[in-house]
Amino acid sequence: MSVARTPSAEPLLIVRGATRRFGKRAALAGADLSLLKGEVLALLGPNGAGKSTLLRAIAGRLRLDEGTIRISGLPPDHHQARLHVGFVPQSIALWGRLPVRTNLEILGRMAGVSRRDIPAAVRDALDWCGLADRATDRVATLSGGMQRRINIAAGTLHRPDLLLLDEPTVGLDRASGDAIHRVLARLRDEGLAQILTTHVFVEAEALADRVAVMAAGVVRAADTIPSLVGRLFGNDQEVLLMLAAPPAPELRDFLRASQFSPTNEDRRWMGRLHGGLEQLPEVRTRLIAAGADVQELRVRQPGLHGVYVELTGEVPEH
Amino acid sequence: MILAIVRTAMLQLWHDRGALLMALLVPVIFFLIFAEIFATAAGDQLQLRVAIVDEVQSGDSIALLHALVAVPSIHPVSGAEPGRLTRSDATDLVRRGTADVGLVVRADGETLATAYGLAAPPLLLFVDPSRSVAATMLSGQLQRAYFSALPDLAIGRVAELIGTELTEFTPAQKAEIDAGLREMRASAAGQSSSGWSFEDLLERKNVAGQSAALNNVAYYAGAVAFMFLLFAAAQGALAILDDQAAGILDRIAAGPGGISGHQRPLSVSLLQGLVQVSLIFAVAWLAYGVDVPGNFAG
Repeated sequence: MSVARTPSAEPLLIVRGATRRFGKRAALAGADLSLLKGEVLALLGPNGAGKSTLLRAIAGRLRLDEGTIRISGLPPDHHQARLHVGFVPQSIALWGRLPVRTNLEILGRMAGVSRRDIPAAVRDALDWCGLADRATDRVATLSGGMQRRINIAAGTLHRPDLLLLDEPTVGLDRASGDAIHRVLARLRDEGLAQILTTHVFVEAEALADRVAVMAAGVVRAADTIPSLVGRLFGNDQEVLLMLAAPPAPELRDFLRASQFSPTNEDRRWMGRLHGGLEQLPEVRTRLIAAGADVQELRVRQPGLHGVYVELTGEVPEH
Repeated sequence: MILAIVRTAMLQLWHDRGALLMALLVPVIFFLIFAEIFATAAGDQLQLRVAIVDEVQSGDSIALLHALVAVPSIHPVSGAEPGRLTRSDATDLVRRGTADVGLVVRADGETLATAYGLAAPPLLLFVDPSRSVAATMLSGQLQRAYFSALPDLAIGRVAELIGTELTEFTPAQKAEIDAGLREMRASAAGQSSSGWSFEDLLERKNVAGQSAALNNVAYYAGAVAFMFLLFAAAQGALAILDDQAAGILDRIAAGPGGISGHQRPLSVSLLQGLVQVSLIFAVAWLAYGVDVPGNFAG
């Protein structure tokens, strides 16, 4: 998490009661969100929670059925508001058969950069994303990680105040993801506000000043991770239980009654430990008495993972 | 398996409204364009555009042409009345496609009353070989007008034929025939006759010496050019759909230029289409001798 920089107290983005329905399904059901200038916010939530829809609405690509969005006081489809926003779609939104430099020049011009300023803007972008030596290569010949960096660079050419990133590291390996994180951290340190949707908690923890957790079209909570942990867990700790075999129905009922939640794996359950580590032996005894074949029982300080489970009711794969 | 694939393709098409619209609209647009190009002289509401020239201005010629323009399907070009146009005008009008066919009641041939094949026929048709059906149709309407407006001339020619080839009429018989023919002329309006070939009164002439093949080449050049313009537009539309799928459209539309900033694929494709059209016309001009500059000037 960034500590070397303090976001401005001045609000850059305010979302109030954002609602958008597709047929009978509400992709957004009254979402509220705010962002300060220079602040980085990670938007978390399970698939279908409304993250991308909210991002598209902020980018002015989707009209709300109800609610308001203001970027520096302007609606997102206002010309001046668009000047403040850079949008980085989840897909590689570049022309694969064109060279990197040509892509950036065209997209920069379309983003409103003057013909005179384009060479410098492209040069700067290539420099900070570390791809100056690949400027003449066709985009399709670059690695996935390089394409993602160019994808991000293309969203910053007009020097926006707010960069919207839809899962910027999806499909990348660890090393490529780290390279993207360095790029985003550099932009953050230069004062560029960012909202990034992600399923990767490490990404949110490394980059974001605050996280917002969405589920069922609403923002369940938005705050710093320590604040969310304190609010949701107090002095409790997280317990990870690994069983030797999937639990029988009776044991399953017992686990639920003991505030354990199932994960994607039948044998793996998450729970909360009240009253400190000294309570762990008693928990283990109770589990064994209920017929559980305990393979592993671990305690850890709650973090973003626990916050996510608490707020969404779902256990993430990451 | 095959059914499942077909069903999948159909469902994908159904859910891609842009592609569905293209799939349904493009064939109709192609049909309309080609119908316009190739069917200028067809259809049940045919209007035959005729450039009419009367170099003689005799009672017979005026009567014939008045009967002709009274036919609903005959449309004198530029609202011209007989006598207004020259032979050169008619040639140009046909060559440019403004008229489907040209008709001249010529002063340098036999008259309508005395056409015996000793000199040029009294009626001259300027024919665009690619629309020869128009000349055939005009010939039929002319024949009808001729028997309608000038029945005495028609029957008189038959009578003369009988008199010279089969039997000789006495002066009294000739006088009776002449009197009868005069009566026919007087009550001719609105009546029709048939059974006599009219073709001897006509001479057909291809305009500007262009061959039918050459005219066809000119038409095909135009048709193919339109087709490629449509292909280019379709290509541009597909490029936009590709950009939409890749997220490029979202990126650009979110920028200050909005959706209007995304004109590249369409404009490039149209430019490409214009280049293709230029090449087609250049080949038609240089390889086949189609008068492309002249047609554009016209």
